[in-house]
Amino acid sequence: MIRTTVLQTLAFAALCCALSLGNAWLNPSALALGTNYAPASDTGTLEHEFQSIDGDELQSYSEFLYDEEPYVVVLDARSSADYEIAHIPGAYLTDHYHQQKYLDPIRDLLMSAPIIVVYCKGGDCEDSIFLARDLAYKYDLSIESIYIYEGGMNDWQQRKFATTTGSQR
Amino acid sequence: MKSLLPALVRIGVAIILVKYGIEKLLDPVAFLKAIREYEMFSAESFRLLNFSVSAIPIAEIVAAICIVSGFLRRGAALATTALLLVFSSAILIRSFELMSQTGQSFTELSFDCGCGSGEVIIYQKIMFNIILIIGVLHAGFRDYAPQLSPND
Repeated sequence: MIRTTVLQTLAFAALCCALSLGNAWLNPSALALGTNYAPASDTGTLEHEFQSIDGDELQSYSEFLYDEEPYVVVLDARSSADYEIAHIPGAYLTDHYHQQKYLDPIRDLLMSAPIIVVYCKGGDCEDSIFLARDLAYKYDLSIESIYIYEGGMNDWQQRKFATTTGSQR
Repeated sequence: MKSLLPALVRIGVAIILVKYGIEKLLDPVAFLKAIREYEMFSAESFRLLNFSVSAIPIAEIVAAICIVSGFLRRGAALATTALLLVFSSAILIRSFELMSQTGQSFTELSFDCGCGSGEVIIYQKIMFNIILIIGVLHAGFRDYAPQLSPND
């Protein structure tokens, strides 16, 4: 009985591994196996190496966000579902967990923007930091140009600033 | 009724496993974030973490199918039991960490354990997992349990 059980367990594990690999490769909403979604820095994951921006300052840039060559680009690191519920007007959807799909089309814009602001939900949400690290170390954007809006969407809504719903910026 | 019990246990266990598996498959990011909280994987082991996020919900659904159909039933039950034991232990370890940090008692603790059902009361979750482990073992190995009488 023990031998059969061990063999069945190994067969079950092999079957699950094969199906999981298939899921990872074929399912578009699945996570990519080779992507580090929580890139760490030497300081640890909770502290970050970027400059911070507060809600009032970000709000003061809002009139520039729709410029053809904007001075400030705002990136929303949350999921598309959260983005569609409410986001900062002019912010680009760049879901950290599916970032390549969203960042590649705006790569030139990011390279030329003097200020890039990244935000997520706020509070204990780390996705804005993870996205900022990817921008700096994977996409080679200047660390000096990247700002984290730590208060995030929670702070923005608490301040009763305007928001946009749906998939449009 | 007694003869129906094994079938009911199998179906009940399978429904729970399918529910957990589908919830995790539909929101892999939430599952990834929850698993990350346990700090079971080092920063360098992100591929293993990502693979676990992909494999665990699949394993739950496949285990449910195996337990109901009888195909690889004991192997599926053993693997599921191992998974439940690992995650229950991880939940307990995290609970003790949170208790020391927040001063909360065990019965007050609640957090998203990554089990596929959002934030849960932890002592209830642990008790539920123990019952689920018993159910999985019963569904997988009942034929081999000691019998009280030849007709039982």
